Amino acid sequence: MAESASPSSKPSSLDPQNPAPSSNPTIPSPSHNNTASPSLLLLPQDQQHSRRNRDNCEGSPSHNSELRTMSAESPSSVRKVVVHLRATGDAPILKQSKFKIAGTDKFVKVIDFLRRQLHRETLFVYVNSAFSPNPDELVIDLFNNFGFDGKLVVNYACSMAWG
Amino acid sequence: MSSAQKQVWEGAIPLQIHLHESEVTTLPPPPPALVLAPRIGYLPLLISLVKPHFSTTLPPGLDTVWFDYKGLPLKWFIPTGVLFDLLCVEPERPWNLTVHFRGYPSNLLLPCEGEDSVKWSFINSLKEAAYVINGNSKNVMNMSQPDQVELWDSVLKGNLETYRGVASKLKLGTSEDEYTENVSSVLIKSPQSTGDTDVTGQVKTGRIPVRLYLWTVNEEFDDFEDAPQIDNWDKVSYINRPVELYKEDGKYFSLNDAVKRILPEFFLESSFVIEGDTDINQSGEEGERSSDPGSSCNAAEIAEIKSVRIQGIEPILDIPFSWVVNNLMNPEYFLHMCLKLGGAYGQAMEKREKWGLGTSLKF
Repeated sequence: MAESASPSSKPSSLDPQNPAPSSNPTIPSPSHNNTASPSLLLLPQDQQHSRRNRDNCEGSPSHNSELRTMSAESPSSVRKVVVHLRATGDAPILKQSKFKIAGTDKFVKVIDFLRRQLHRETLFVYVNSAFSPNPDELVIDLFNNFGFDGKLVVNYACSMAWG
Repeated sequence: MSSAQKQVWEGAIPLQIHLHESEVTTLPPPPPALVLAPRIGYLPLLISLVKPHFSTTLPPGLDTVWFDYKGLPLKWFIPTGVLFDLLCVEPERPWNLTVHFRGYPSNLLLPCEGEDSVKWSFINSLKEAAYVINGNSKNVMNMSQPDQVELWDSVLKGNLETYRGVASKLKLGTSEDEYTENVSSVLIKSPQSTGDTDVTGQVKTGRIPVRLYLWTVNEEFDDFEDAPQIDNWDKVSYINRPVELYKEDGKYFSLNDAVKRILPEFFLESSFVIEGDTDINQSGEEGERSSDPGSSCNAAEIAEIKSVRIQGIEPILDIPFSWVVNNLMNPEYFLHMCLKLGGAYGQAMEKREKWGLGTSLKF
């Protein structure tokens, strides 16, 4: 809907919300391009996702045990998430487009990273070409809710792309 | 429209807003401004009301307005009602806030350019919610400009009727209300109903976008006076996990079920076993005292739900979650829940009884 919004209403909300560790250059630690690391596929919520797709065949017993495993699994806190950064419009393309980032990090860290890489103050950052998440949202939540193929797709643009 | 929804939209918090002492240039200092802040609104939307009150006393310079409560800078993108529920442990009225026109703490708060920023944040939350519900944001993105304006305007003005008209075009219908629809069948066949369900016994009826503000408290306190305060945003976990609504024959998905589904790591065993145990088996099993929901879990690993505040109320945990969603969600289709968890293991069982967690659905 906000496609038509005028760029003048530019959301400076892309600025860091927190004293985000912009001083810390080690994050997101680069990884190689073929990073759909297998461990990610074991993410608790990943199971939920697949569960969603087979709705009707979940018999209660296996259902329960699966969920139990899920809850017993190590908390998402230590998980790394693969973020796939994609340029939109006239935004420069990064040499390396996939990075790993700790699931406990906030989305603002991705935004900060992009701003440093692109040397731009104003950036528009989206998930799945659909919406700009709140910078406070945890990367793991975004991955679990909107990720697919083992990664979270983040689009960035220098002018407002999807409002 | 339900009266609960109407009340949510009409809900407001009386604010008494003080100018921060560092910005007072007159003697005597200006009296505080009294403002009624809509629950579903946002603090920056009040600036036009507050500013005239203080404008004559401000030092020269550019205004960048922000608010704090007891020194804690308030995040402007969180609905005012949610801030109040979360931060004002013992609700005070009026709620005493401090306004600043200078010295924006940009290391702590997102920059805000007034209404534009709020609107942008609102629309993006709406798109995110749509994505959770439908798997894409198309309905929101394809909204016509006039509809968009009307929608935002209805939120600004708290006009529920207009809002419903426009929002219905988004086809984001969440769940049917099990409460009204199924309550009779629940009452009639609840005890034996599990017999004739289909194999799975569960039907998923939708995904609910939830923003959860989680505060875990470990200290014990007897008196509300001694209750710990949130004096730092690091104490609050901002959790965005959709809840999948399940419907099982003969029983409904409760608020309690929802909380445990969102936070399995805090409830371990109980979280899912509880599915079968809490509500239904209470009468069956060993009938041992308080063996009901707790029995399936390790007391040492249970977090205790101290309170769940939604739109200023603390609903009983047995309430059907679909009712909560349909009546208490915010206009951007997110349900905001302020959850306080305690790790008071020893008392967990007692409290659970007191909270009625062990008792089955009695509606």
